[in-house]
Amino acid sequence: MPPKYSILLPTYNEKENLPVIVYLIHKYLEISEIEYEIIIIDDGSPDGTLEVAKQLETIYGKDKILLRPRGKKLGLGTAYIHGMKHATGDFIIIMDADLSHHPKFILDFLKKQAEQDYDVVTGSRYIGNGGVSGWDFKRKLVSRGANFVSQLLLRPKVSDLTGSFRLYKKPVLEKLIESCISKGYVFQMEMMVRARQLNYTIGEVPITFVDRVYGESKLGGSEIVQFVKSLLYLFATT
Amino acid sequence: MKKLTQWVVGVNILSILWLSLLFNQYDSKISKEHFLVIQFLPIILLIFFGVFALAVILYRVATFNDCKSAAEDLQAEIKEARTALQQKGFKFD
Ligand SMILES: Nc1nc2c(ncn2[C@@H]2O[C@H](COP(=O)(O)OP(=O)(O)O)[C@@H](O)[C@H]2O)c(=O)[nH]1
Ligand SMILES: [Mg+2]
Repeated sequence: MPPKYSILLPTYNEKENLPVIVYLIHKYLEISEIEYEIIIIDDGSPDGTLEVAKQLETIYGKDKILLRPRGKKLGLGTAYIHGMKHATGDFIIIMDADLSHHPKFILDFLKKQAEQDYDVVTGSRYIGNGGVSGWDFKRKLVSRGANFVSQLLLRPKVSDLTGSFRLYKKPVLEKLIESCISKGYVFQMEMMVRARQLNYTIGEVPITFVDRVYGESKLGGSEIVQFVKSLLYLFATT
Repeated sequence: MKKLTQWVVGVNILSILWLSLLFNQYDSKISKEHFLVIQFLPIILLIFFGVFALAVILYRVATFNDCKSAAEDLQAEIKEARTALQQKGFKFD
């Protein structure tokens, strides 16, 4: 039997982006005859994202689109845990729903995974043809500087620690979530550090990161402070 | 061993090596002739590392791929998606 992939899409106020990303996932995976399901975890978005999701459910079918909403905004970390509980695939793909992560790269993730039967495949802006779109010098400097420091302190064997476009074998993700203590911003970083500790094999594929077109980022200004805190926490505890 | 512990151990070993050089444990010709350098060795190494780090980071900023076409392609695909979805009966508001 060919493997099945569960794609987790956490959403908060993504009513413009959600239909487009679902369309694009369908477009790229359907022609490659890949079996998949999309699990949408909406946290009671006031903009009506859930209504949009329901329309998509009718268009693409209940077997392709699974709605697993929660009543209120409970954060990204727990949204993944919630979504994973309902996943029926052999592999879980985690990506942002804001079109920063393009679904066409999913095909690269699958190819990479099959190469060496990797436990985890992670997208990286820092390797090969990967990159970012429309960033000024300052943003690039902060990104590269932060990356340099985290490589120096944590030596994670992963070039893009803060990225959140990743594929996991389902049991591996379950084990990782179990061993991760943090739930907030640090979550994505901790997952990779724990993966290294537990000796899981990790493959990397280059991805491009495009800034969101619609809506606004939920993390915002305190991001650098958050990052430094997370880094020091992992430095001292892992 | 935790990363923090690794660093503490590493820094301690280096400090001991440096202090033993500084207090002329080996009493060799080299350590006498280069006493000034040995005295400031930690600062010199720190500066070297700083320059190295800065060079690496700036090089990586300069070679950070700017994927202009990724944004343009996405714009085109957004249009494509909206038309296709409307045909399938999706209602944008
Ligand atoms: N379910 C849920 N999704 C969230 C929450 N916060 C952010 N998201 C989603 O997580 C993804 C990344 O968030 P975003 O604001 O773009 O973060 P950024 O890209 O780091 O600025 C997007 O798809 C958001 O809609 C939350 O509290 N609950
Ligand atoms: Mg985003």
